[in-house]
Amino acid sequence: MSEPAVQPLFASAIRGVRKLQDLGDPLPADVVSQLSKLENSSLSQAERRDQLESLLSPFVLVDVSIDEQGRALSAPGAAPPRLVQHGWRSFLVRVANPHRIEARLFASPSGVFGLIDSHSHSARIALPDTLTIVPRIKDAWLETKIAAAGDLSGLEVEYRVISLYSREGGVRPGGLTIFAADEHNHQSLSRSPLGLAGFRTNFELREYGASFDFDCAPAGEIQLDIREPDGRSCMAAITVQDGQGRSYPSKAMRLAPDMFFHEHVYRATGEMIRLPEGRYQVSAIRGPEYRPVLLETDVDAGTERIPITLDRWVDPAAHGYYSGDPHIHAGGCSHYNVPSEGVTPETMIRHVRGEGLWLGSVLTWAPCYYHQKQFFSGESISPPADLEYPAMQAAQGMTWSPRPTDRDAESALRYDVEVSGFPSSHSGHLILLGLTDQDYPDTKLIEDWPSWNLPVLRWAKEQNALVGYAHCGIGLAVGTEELPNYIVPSFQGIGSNEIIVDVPLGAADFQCGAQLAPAAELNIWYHLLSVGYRTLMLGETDYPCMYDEGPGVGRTYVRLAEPPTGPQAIEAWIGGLRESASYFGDGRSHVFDLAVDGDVSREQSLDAPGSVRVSATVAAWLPEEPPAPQAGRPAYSAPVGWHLERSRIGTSRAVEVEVVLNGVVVATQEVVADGTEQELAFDVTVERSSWLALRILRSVHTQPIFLEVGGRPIRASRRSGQWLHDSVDQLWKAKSGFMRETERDAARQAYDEAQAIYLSRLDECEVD
Amino acid sequence: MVHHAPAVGCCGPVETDAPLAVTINPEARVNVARSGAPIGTLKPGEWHTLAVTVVNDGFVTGPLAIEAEPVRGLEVEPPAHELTGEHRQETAFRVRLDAPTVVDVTLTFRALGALGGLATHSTVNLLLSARSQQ
Repeated sequence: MSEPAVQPLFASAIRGVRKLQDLGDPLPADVVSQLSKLENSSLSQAERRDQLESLLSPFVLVDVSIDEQGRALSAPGAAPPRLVQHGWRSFLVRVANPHRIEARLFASPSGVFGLIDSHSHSARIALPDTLTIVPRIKDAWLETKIAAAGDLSGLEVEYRVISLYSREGGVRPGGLTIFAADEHNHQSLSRSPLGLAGFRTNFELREYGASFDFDCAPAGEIQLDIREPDGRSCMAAITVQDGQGRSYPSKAMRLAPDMFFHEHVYRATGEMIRLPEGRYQVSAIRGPEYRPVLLETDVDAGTERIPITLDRWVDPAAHGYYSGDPHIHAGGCSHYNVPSEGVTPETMIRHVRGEGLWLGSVLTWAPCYYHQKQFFSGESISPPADLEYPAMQAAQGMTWSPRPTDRDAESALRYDVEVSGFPSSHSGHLILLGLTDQDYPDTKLIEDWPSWNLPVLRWAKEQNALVGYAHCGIGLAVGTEELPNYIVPSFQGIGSNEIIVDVPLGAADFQCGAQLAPAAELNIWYHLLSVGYRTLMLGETDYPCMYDEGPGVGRTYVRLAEPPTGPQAIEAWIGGLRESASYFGDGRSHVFDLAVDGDVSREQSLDAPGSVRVSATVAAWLPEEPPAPQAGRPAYSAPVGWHLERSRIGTSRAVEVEVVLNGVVVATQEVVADGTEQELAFDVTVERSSWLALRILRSVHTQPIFLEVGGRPIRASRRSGQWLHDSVDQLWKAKSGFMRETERDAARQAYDEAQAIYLSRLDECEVD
Repeated sequence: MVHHAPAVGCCGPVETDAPLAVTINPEARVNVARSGAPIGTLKPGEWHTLAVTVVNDGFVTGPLAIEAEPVRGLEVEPPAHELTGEHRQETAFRVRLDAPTVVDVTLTFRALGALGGLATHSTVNLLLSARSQQ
């Protein structure tokens, strides 16, 4: 066999090491460090190759050798076959491929057939024969999968990662077979490449699999006694990791409601996780209104429970502000192993409760539309956080029982629609909140819906729904962080696009953001406000498609007289958005009771230009120091999107609160983000009818207060009017080609009407 | 043998003769995957074209960008044509190795106006080999 080239050998090894880290089974830090040094060392190629192989050899569970027929012979490697009950362990696989066959690797425990869908694994076990699911799950104790893409590139030696799951504890014999499915030289008309690989390997007299005596550390049931500071029971996000950074339950195989893309799981007071004996770091949080609680705990044979008291730093509901996330999904994304189905309300409510949200709008969209629409009822619901498919869970040994909590009724779901993957989606994705009917008139299929947005919006508004645009900033970045700016964007994405036509025609109420760069998101909103529209802006997550940490990464707080509970919860919340104060952001900073001269009303009249007193209560919380950089990184990198950490002034604990008048910052104050509530006041001169808001950029933004001076409407920027007018031209250029011929004339007419309105308004503007 | 259910909706495999398939889902997530088609062998110092089939469910228009992690001796030239928003589009990019060698390159695909990929779905690893003509 020729020797593998060094660069691709290292590339494959480093990918394997990174994958182990991602899966929560990192190699020891000194090994990773040595690997990094070796990659860049001045040793000869042969020396680097040999040292690399020696370095990684102790962590290789399976040595695979592929013959010229593409058959894969597996043998035990040097890594001890130690597994953990009810968890996954991941190891390196070394593949010797002297014939440079390009193939896809698959792994199978010997004698176990048809168990677990491996495309992704968050939602549920999927089997073709539903009648035999439970017994087949019950009979199988070992499951394996090649982690990530198992494609062999054709290099003589490559490293891959294999994950193994054990449902049982103790020492158990087991087998493991690797298959190489060769799609490039696939000649069979009757068998798939994988079928052919299995046929060749399984029906040979020779044993191609590797045998092990797996030593599976037993795991005990540990009850989590999670409490609010006042002792009430609740749901929270719990992250449990051992000294090697491995998460429990293992991320590599989770059944809903536990998700593979989370480090954490959501558990209610009294619910449990299974842990083998050892020392663990436990962190608990319930959304950004809480500080993370960090515990170190030892689990031994006598451990039955871990007490956890949450640490709340702010309570917006005590000020009358109730949180909601208007954009979360229960299906459709590739996060779900059956995207067309997704997960059930019982899973979604667990996630919403665990993030301390009052409301979560679960939006059905195209890839999951026909399945998920069954959950639409036209009412808000607050179901128990039961387990999906309890028989499967039981067969898998998941014996924990969901528990109700004292705070369950404070969270609700409302199933509604995101018009995404529909014929009009090119014009921006619509969010329709508070529908009473989710099917557009005279349609049976998604493809029957209109090919532009205005008809959909008008139909939804007839139902008194609150309607607007999702992930507003996508495609609206123009290469500057300046706000406002007057560069017309390309409208080449799926953000707030047709909103500039729909708002002047009275058909769109809001746009959603708090996900991307502020200039991309806020600029279009500021221009609409500056020519007199009352467009709302909401914070959203687009969970898990856009941000998969949890619901409420972007969120909206609405001031209400009563908590939004019961079947009409979303209607109450929408009513507050229309009439009352609200703000949106990442939940790490808050602005309560924004007032002008003591008046918190959204619409206010001033007799004459002059100075006004702007006041608000602001609270923000940051750790005293910026977080330490991750291992191997030179500096801390704040999360993308909106996050208060990105508002931190230098290395201080301060952030800047800005007063925005007609899109321009007119006053600022620094506040210390120590979690205390601080009364702020600013004197601002209002020269003409204006809109005014408070913000901490990249963390929080209030809805405006609209100030009409001398009874004149807000016409605060001629250039905003011009920008909107010109953007309609660009929008038509980008989108009209996607509209049906039969609808294009009507759309053009609407575009013309919108432009005429903008021309009229910019003429009325008092200033440039 | 594990059951490998067919992917559905946005995530299904793309039938193509091109070695790479890019899919843009309705949420404008970019995924890339190797197909069964061969990459071929490069000639040192010469551009080698790699065809890409784009299945665009997101109506995303504008440039399709390709970011390559630096590999000594390798150049990557982005596609000449922008995304049109059509549901299926054939495009290509070019690679060049300056000497006879074998390299492993990590490529990440991005579309202006689109979200990135989920996890590593917008990233693909290619083994590129350049050999002098005999």
